[in-house]
Parts: sequence; C-alpha cells; structure tokens
Amino acid sequence: MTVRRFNILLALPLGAIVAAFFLLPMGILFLQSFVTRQDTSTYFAILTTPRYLSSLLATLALAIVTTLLTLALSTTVGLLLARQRFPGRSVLIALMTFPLAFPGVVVGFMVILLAGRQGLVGEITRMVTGDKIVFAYSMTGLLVGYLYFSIPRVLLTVMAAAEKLDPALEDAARSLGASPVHVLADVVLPALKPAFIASGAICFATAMGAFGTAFTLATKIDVLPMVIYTEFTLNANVAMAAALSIFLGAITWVALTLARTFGGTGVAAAG
Amino acid sequence: METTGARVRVEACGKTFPDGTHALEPISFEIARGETVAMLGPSGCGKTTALRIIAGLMGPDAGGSVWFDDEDVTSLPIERRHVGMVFQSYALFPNMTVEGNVAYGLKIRKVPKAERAARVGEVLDMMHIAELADRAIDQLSGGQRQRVALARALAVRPRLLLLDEPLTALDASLRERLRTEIDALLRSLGITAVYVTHDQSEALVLGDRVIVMEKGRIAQIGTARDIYLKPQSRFVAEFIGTMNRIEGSIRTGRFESAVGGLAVERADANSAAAFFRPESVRLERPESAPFRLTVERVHFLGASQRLHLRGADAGRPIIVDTDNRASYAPGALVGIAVAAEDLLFL
Amino acid sequence: MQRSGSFILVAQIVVTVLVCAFLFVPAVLSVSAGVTANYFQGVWKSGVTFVWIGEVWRLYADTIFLSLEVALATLVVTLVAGVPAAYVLHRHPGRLTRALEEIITLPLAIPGLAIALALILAYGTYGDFRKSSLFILTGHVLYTMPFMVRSVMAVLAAMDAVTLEEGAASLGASPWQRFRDVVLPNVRPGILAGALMVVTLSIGEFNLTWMLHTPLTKTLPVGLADSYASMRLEIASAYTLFFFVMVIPLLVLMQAAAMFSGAASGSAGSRR
Repeated sequence: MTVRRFNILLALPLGAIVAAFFLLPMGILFLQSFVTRQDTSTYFAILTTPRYLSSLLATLALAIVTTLLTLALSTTVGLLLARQRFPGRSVLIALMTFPLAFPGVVVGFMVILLAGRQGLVGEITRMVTGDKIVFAYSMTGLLVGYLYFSIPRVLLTVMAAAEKLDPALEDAARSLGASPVHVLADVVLPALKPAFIASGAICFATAMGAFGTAFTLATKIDVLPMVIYTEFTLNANVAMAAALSIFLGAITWVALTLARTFGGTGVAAAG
Repeated sequence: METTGARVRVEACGKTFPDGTHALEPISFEIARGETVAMLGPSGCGKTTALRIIAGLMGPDAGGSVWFDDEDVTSLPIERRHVGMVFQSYALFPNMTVEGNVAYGLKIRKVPKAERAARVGEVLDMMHIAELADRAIDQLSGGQRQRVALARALAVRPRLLLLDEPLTALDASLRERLRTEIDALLRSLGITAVYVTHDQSEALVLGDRVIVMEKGRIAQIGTARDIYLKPQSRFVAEFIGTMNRIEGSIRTGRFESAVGGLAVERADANSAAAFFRPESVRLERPESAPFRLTVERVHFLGASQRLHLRGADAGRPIIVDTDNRASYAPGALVGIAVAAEDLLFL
Repeated sequence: MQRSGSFILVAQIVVTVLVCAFLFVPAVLSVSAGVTANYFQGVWKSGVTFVWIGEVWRLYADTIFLSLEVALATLVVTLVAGVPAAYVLHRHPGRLTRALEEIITLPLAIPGLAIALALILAYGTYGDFRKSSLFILTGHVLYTMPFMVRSVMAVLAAMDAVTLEEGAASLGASPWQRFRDVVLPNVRPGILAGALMVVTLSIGEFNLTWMLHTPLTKTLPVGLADSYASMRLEIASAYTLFFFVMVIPLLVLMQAAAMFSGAASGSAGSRR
C-alpha cells in the first residue's frame, strides 16, 4: 500500500463525518437563510428591524464589556499567581480553572445562587440595608455569569505567557531606572499583548455565542443567541433564525481569525 | 561482523521543490563498494537533499535515478532499500529501550528471536554500550544516543550506511572522539557510507573521497588531499581551510598586484587572483621578495606564530603561518614568497 | 519606588482574593444547598440531608446515564476518526490538509446554536435519527473533535514525529508498521489529554444538546436546565452536585496528566 493511499484511508473517517454532518448542514443553513416570505432579504432585515438590531448591539456591547473586564481582572490575578510562590498555589490555580468545564446553564445557576431571589447578595443587602438587591435576571446578571466562565480561560493564557516572560527583561528595565509602574506599563504589559489579543478574542467570541447562561437566567434578555432560539422555536421563522446564526457565526469567526492573525497561534474556542 | 556494502550510482538526480526552488541541480557520481564519501558544503548547498534522495526519503526529479549495484532503486521507498541511516537528531524511539531500538529493524525483518538477541548483543558490544541495553532513551547522554543511533542503523547489516550530520548535536571534544571511532568503525566494517557534514575536518578525516557542494551543484569531487591542495574553483579554495588571495592581473607572463608581482607561466588576463595557503609562505627580506606587506598583528601560538599582513588596499589580510624563531613587530615591512607549485590562479 | 511596587502588590492580592471568592463561593453555596434540608432556613437550622440527592436520582438518573453513554460514544468516535486524521494533518502539511484542519476547528468558532440549527435543518426530517441519541452524539462529535485532533497534533509536533518515522522507515518499517510501532505509542499523552477533554466537554455540553434533544433523549445539562427552571433550589443544587462529582475527577486527572507530560498536552488557551 502506498503512503498516499494509507494516508487517505486514515483521514477518510474524519473527512466523511465533517462533510456529512458539518459542511452539508452548514450549507443548508446558509441556503435556508435566504428562503423567506418577506420581500426584503433576511440579512437586510437584521440591520433594519429595531428588535434584531438592538439585540445585536446589546450582545456586542455585552461581549465587549465582558472581554475588557475579564482581561483586566485576569491580568491582575494572573501576574500575581505567575510570580508569587506560596503553599497551595497549584491547588488554587487548579480550582480556579474548574469553571472552564461548567456548561452555561450551571454558570447561570451560580449567578442565581449569588444574586438571585434567594441569593447571597440579596441576603447580605437585606441584612445590611433592609433592601434586597437582586440582579441575576438582568443584563448585569448575564455579565456576571460571562465573567464567571471567562476569567479562568483568560487567566490560564495570561499566566502561561507571563511565565514565559524572561525575568531579565524586567531586571534590565529596573537597572535603567524604571519604577515598578513603568516596568509594568513599558515591559510586562506590552510583552503580554499577544496573549491579550488571543484570549480576548476567545472571550469575545464565547460571550457573543453563549446561550446556556442567558437561557437559565431569563428568557427576557434579548441577546442574539436567545433571539435565534425564540425565532426558531416560538416563531418558526427558520430563515431569520438561520440568517442570524450565520451572522453571529461570521462575527465570532472573524474575531477569532483576526486574533489569530495578530495574536499568534493558540486561538480557538467558543461554546 | 560482516556487512555487504553496495556500489552506489547516482545519475542525474536533481530536486525541485513544489515552491519552485532548485534544491539540487542534476548531479551524478559513483560510490565504490566499501568506500566512504563525505558530502561537504554550507547549509542550503543541497547535500542533505542528495542524501535523502540516495536514502529513498525523497524522489529525484524526473530523469534522475539511483542504483545500488545493478539494481535501480529509484522508485523504492527507504523501507525497501535496506539501508541504515543515522539522523542528525538521532530519531530514537522514546517508547522503546536501547535494546528495543536496536532490535527494531531485525524485528521488522522477522529475524528469529534468538538470532535477533545475538545480533543486537554483538552490535551493542561493538559500540561499547552493552550495559545500556535496558535503558530508556531519555536516560541517555548525547554521546550515548549517538552510539545507539549508529548501533541501530548497523544492526540490520545495511547495504549502505547514511549519516546526516551525526555529530553536530555534540560538544567539540566528544565530537572529535566519536569522529575517530566512526572512522575506525567504517574502516573495519568495510561498509559503503555517505557522510553528510558542514564540518570540513570531519569530511577530510572520514571521507575516502569528499564531494564539495555549492548551490545545489557539485563543486569538486576528490580525495581530501586533492580538495585541499588542488581546489578547482575559488569556492572550494576558500571554503576548505584558510586561503589567502591577492587580486591583480597577468600581462606578458607576469602577475602584477598592488603589493608586488612575479613571473608566471600563464595567459594574459585583466583580472586574476593568486591563491596560497598560510603554511606555503616563505618570509623574506622585503627588497628581494616578490610581495611586500606590512605586519598588522602577530598571534604567538607556541609552536608557531600566525601573522596578519596587510597591503596598500583595504581587503582581507594575508595570513602567514611561520615558525616561532623570528620576532615580528606590528608596522614592520616584510617580504613574502610562495613556491610556484603552491600558487594557484583561479 | 518601593512604595509604588508594594501598592501594586497589595492591589493584586485584594483583586485575587475577590476573584477567588467570586469563583468559589457560588460553587460552595451550590454544594451546601444540595445537602441542606431547607436552604431558606440555612444549613445550621434545618440540618444536613440526603433527601434531595435521592430525589434527583429518582427523577434524573436516566439523564446521567445518557450523558455517560453519549460521552463514551463521542470519545470512541473522536479516537477512531480524530487520531489517525491528526497524524495525517501533521505528517502532510499541504493546502488540502490545512483546509481540513480549518474546517474541523470551525465548530469552535461558530456558536453551538448555529451548528445545532444546521443539523436540524439537514437531518431533522429523518425521524428515527432525529429521535435517537445518535443525533446528540453527532453534535458532540463535531464540538469535541478539534480538541482531540489538536491535542494529538501538539504531541506529534513536540516529539518530531516526522523524523521518528523516517528513522523507522530507514529500518524497513512499512507505513502501517511505523504508525503502529512508533507514532501511536509515542502520541499516547496527547490521546489521553484529548480523551479527558472530550469526555469532560461532552458531559457538560448544553448549547447544541438543548436544540438536538427530544423529551426521551435528555442529557445531564438538559435536565439541569429543566430543574433550574422548575424545581426547588435544593433539588437543583443536589443535581448540580451530581454534575460536579462527575466532572471534577476528570478535571483533576487532566491537571495531573498535563503536569506529568509537561507542556505537551497543548496550550492553555485552546481549552474549551
């Protein structure tokens, strides 16, 4: 058997699966997005119908805020954990990465326990001020949930990058008279830029496409994935659901591809 | 331990990569039974490509062929050529012990267990690594890995042994010791071998003949002595060892340059360069010598000293090796002469 | 100069403690709620109970078994199709293999909802397939495949599989013998890391599964969503506890495997 034939044989199962269950369905999804009863194209409708447009903008805003907050928090934590050695450090890091494996629904439940009607924040605020603060079922609750599953992922990337950083760079900056603030701003953060771009893009794409958390918290929050879901299941508007899916997929794909171009390798993931 | 070496013939083997680069222009040469040929050249000269074509890891462009004795092996993949190969990174299998690695080729050939064990033992003894037999690969030092790689290649009694920069990964002293050992091994086994290296001392010591390569072409084939003493091109002259060059011209039987001249039996040329080795130079009184230069630096090396001389032009200095008797001061004017048979015009 | 340095450090420690609290407190609340007789009164007043866990088992045991079955089936498919393909992708970098690699990674970039919708549009009318758990399996395979392929490819690159294979070829091994004797044994750390990842992700997959499931094919996360919406907090928490018990050992194993094989199991950034 020639090497060529052997290789084709090895790649065949995956090729068949991908062709039958991914390429073909995605092609059908794309075609379906044009099959509409309205006069205008579905894609045009996304940008002109207030309901779709506002949900698109809200989702974008939510994803961007999630990304920026996650980057800020994870970098602060990541730089500390990457440099400091203390007992239990590796266990702590391991524990902090667990939420990576939690599905969106579980993360939604975590937000309910934190800020829901029977949540911790509500109990504490009721005891302190007499007023029960409940924000789990709002955009804020969604943001908290997205932070919950984004922080661990960005944290890992930032830590990995920070650990690869040559400590001599910082020593060199200090030998030239740079203060700790300057070392951070002029040496450390610029060196971490590829990690920021890579993990930021993953964070953004995940936040754009996340469904489970919003689903658990409320059906009232109109983020794009929820709109797709309601269009398909409640309104049976297959064309619009398909078009929105393609639209959303294109946004996340572009974000990840841009990040891969400018942020080096190691970019992927969204769920 | 006997091996049956093959006669190898490479005919018009060129290699063009899919991106259009010519890694190798069509080259032809023969390797005699039991001969060691060293392929020498800077990186990117095509020596590794040539080795991979001989090995069967790569096919030549259409029209090229590789012959082992009278068998055309061009279309055979490496696994059916019955060769032994030592890789630059050794390519030892981390999932097998030393013994497992060395036995692997015999296992593939379905050599019965008892004979296999005997032959593995024999090769391990020969390479002085019998005590490492049960070690894992990641427990070996660089030199030990090198020996295992060689043992593994030899265990199958190949028709041809191919070595791709086998010593490059080692430090200098180890490299020299293993070079001597490999030399002894190749002589005693009488195996046909191709040894690719960018290190000229390895090539000169190990090669019965040396193939010097440049830009995908064979620059010269010859014994170490030929290559060193009778280089046929400027590239070979300057690539091997230290070579001095004086630029000038030849008119009516005389070579003339900015630092002097002398009578030569050569046709006129507007531009000519005289080449000579540092050890061929005789230092003479400036007034009677053909070339006159100024001492720039003196490196006293104990048994000898090396002078860096400079002429009026700002080119490369002329290097002269001489005995340790006379003392030279920087700035002094000296004369040099070179015997006619040591002077090359290229 | 020293002052600004210690200020940064103190700020970092404060933020780190807060982030840790944010990540851990809800999980701890969830676990405790699952074994509390009455969460509203608190665990001290009402006491510890396993009633809710029993209740979850009675109501949802079938979702747990289905999740395990789907996860194992997903693992088998990703192993059989993914490992050999990863080898070919690594071994023959070309336009075709590059395109295939891009395509199999796409399910990571495209939201699960979109993929699920596409699968429903393409195969939703094939009743028997649509109603079986194979439909869910299809989604899980698409979603987890890139993790297996990449994990194996990372190890192949780290071990310089091409040269190792040339070594085996020089000793006379055929393509199949090279794959079996040299590639597969040495790529085991990648397969292990990929397998743990695949099983973990499959057990927790919701976005695709929610769209693909039927009332008779509910997986654990689907059941969780159901319980969060309709059950009392204690039952939802107890059910979540089941999920933690299933997934956390896998996560611990993953960490151990990563530590054991160094960086070979792939970069942290490519997780999930």
